[in-house]
Amino acid sequence: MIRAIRSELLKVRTTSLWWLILIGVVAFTAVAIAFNMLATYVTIHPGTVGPQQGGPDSLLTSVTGLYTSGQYAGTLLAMVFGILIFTNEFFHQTATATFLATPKRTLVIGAKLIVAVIVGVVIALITTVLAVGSGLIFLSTQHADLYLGNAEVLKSIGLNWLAFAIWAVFGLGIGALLRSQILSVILGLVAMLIGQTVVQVVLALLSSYFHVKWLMKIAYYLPSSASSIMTSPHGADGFEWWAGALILLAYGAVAAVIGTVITRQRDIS
Amino acid sequence: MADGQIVVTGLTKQFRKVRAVDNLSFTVQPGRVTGFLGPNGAGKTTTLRMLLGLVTATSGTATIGGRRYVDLPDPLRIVGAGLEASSFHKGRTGRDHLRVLCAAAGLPANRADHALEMVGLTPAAKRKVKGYSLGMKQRLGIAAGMLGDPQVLIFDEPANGLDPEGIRWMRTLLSSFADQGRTVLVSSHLLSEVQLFADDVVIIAAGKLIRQGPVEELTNLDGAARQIRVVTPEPDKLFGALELPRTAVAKDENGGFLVTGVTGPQIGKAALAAGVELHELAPQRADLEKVFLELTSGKAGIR
Repeated sequence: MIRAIRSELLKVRTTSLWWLILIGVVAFTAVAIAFNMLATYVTIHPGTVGPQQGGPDSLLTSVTGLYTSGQYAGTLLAMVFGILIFTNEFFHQTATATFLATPKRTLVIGAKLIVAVIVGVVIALITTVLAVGSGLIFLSTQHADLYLGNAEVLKSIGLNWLAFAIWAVFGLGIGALLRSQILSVILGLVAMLIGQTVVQVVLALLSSYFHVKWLMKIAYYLPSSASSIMTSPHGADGFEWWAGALILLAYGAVAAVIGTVITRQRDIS
Repeated sequence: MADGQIVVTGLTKQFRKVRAVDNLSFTVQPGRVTGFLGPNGAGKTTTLRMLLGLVTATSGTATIGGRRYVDLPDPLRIVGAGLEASSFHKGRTGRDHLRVLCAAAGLPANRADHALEMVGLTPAAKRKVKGYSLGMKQRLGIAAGMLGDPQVLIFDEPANGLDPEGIRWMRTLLSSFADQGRTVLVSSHLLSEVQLFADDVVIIAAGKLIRQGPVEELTNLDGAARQIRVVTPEPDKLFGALELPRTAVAKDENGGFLVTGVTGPQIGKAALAAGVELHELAPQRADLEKVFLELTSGKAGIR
């Protein structure tokens, strides 16, 4: 297993994919940080823009957002990375060489799973260093509370890390399930970015039409809602954060298990 | 790893509607280069992939040194295989491709450099595969097969894309492996190629075994395929004396005649008796090409 993991890590390091993803993560995180700084500025200086808000609670929310900047795009990129870790083998037809060196295919997928988690954690580390680092400087210049000792804030940062890892695993699962690189990436992104909204709108319409509230709740079982529940320290609409984590993990696990079963039986040609 | 003999028994692969490999049995001996021959689509690649555990057999078994590939504890140290020229990540360097495999097989990373040197790719080691020619990719595939210094080597169409010099290099390499007592199985659809480097041949067509044996045995196969080249100023007189049917005589492009169904001494004797001048009388070594076409005719088509 150690050998397979070493080999998979070397695969990640020896192509240009990792720094392309890195550039993406840094760029999106920078944009998110700028946006969240603006939002925090507005919260600290109420009345500068728009209606009055303020209050310590909304500042806490703003600071939490600032410290976890880049989560939205970062998790998507972690998912894409997870997809590519698997589908690259078929896209570049390296699966043959891989399975010749490690004929026990479950081992290969297990190693990829661990590498996906590592990649997720590395992306989380990068976004956290950027967001917390610049956030601290920004808050100091505004003479605002840093909230660094705040349990809620720390919990959010921790859950942020979990989100990255789970999304990378989720991506690997999609990749193993669909195997086609282009299909996986498109389907993954569409489902996360557009499909989510469409489903939510449809569910909202249905629930208001039929006057049944539980329909709305279905939306929380979708991957990206589950992710946002997970990263909210208080959860949302009666869901605890850990329920969101479990839902998202379940998606990843189901996709990975089905993908593994398919891969074990599949003819590599 | 006692012997490294490859044994294929009753191997069958049924794809949806096509029986790609049909109850195929053959053995490959160590210390010899065995050519695995068949027209395109005969099932060669499918057979090799079943042998290497990449494709699941519908029925039958394929073992290397008595064990299935997937059951080998350290497969790259026992079997080296090069299957496709295209199976590299284009954005990875040749050296890194090999290092990835070394890591997976638990081999020291310097084996990658050794293997590159062996195939003469050292100058291109740190270049990305997308800049490689087909011949260089073939060399990289062979290097990948040699990483673990294995007893058994299996290559699928390794001479594809090699220039004449590369083919000569390949021939020397393969026979040196065989001389070291290794098992060498090499597939090809080109007979001329196999005739150059193989000691034994396994011929398949339409997924079935046509013939297995040493190359010489096949080329000396049956009298019907044996031809004798005759050059004479009086062909009608000679062939009349021999009482040969018209079909047994064929004119070749250099003004000679290719005669089948009689032996050299018979022709010489007939010529002497009839007082016919003979300028040339040469038995032709039937080439594998002809034997092959005869053996596989009607079975080779597209399925």
